[in-house]
Amino acid sequence: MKSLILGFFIVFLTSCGMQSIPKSLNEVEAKWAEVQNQYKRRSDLIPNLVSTVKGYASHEKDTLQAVVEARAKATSVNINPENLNKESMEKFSQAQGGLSSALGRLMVVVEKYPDLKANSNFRDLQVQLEGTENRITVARNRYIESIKTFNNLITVPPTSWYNSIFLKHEKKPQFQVTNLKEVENAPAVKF
Amino acid sequence: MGSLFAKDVPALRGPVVDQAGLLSPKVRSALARTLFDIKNQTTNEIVVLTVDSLEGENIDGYSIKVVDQWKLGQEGKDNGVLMLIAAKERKMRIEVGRGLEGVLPDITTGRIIRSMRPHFKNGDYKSGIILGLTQIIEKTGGTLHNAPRAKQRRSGRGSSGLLIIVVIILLLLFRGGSAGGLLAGLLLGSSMGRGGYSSRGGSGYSGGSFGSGGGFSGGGASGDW
Repeated sequence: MKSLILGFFIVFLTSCGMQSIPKSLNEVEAKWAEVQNQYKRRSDLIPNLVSTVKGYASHEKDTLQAVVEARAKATSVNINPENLNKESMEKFSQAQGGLSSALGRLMVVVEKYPDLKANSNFRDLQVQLEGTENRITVARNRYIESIKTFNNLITVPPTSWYNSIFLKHEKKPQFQVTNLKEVENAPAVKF
Repeated sequence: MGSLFAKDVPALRGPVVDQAGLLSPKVRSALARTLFDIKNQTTNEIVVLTVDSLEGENIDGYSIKVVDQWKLGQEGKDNGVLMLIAAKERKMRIEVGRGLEGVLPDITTGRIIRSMRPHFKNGDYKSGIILGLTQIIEKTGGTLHNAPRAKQRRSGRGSSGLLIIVVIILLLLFRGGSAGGLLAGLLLGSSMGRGGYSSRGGSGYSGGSFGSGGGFSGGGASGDW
């Protein structure tokens, strides 16, 4: 009897994760949705960008083709928040990283075409692309913060006790910078 | 990373936080009044921040740090705008709250920045800032009181032509002496005679405080000069 009361007492005490863990999980999922949303926004800009560049720089077929292919690959990788794990995250980062570097190369090539750079349609696209890259950065940082909070809740006592008894959530993956080199070399889409 | 890039966010003492001292006290207080007035009209919170230097931080990163801390705009409406100017780096950014991204898309903010650039190049920060703010206010549905209003026309060209006239008048008045200053104050919706507001002095201004919980997600545009 005594141990039963004690048991209830412990559960009562440790239930401080009861609200905070699911809340934090919701937060993580929302932030992830935003990350994907912003990457999608970037993909949506690309057809317009490619067709604009094509008009001025038709010699750059290979670079343009690489962007189109990288985009196709990137849009095919989506992760449901429930399936956020290390592998899926790695796949996602790789696909998006591939697109980032293809875009980076395109932007270097563009430097050779002053007429294109002066084109107002292209300038607007540049601004949109810059804005999207910035939104991606912001969304990623917020996702990283939310993951930190969530992982702390499920690994640091006392909330971790509640998790290990009832919820059994696993740590969520942080952004893996698998292609660190490419990311670092990816020219910022800045002019 | 955090320790490497750790430029502090200044206190939000009012809608014009001129740390770099690019504006005269008179202009500063006239702008502050205008921005208070715009807040009363539309609840939009438009704030100008100038800094001496970004201390190694990039302007996009610093800008989002500032608005995350200041939370410009109303909670739920997310209708804040920050105009950030870094004097030493010669960089500027207009950060747009989530709720205003529709009326101030990146393309528009990019164009606003490009229109400010020539003034900044000439060292005329005042004109650049006024030109930028006037466009932001127009796009976000605010009205400059007593100023000749741009007629609501469908054609964008006509309205922007009138807008330019308004701006030129404002600039001329700001250039003028005390009488001009008074007129500019009137145009900006308040008389200059009343107790001056200065972000540096931090004297109390009972116009409702800025920073009401608005959220940002990185919208806007950056540029240099």
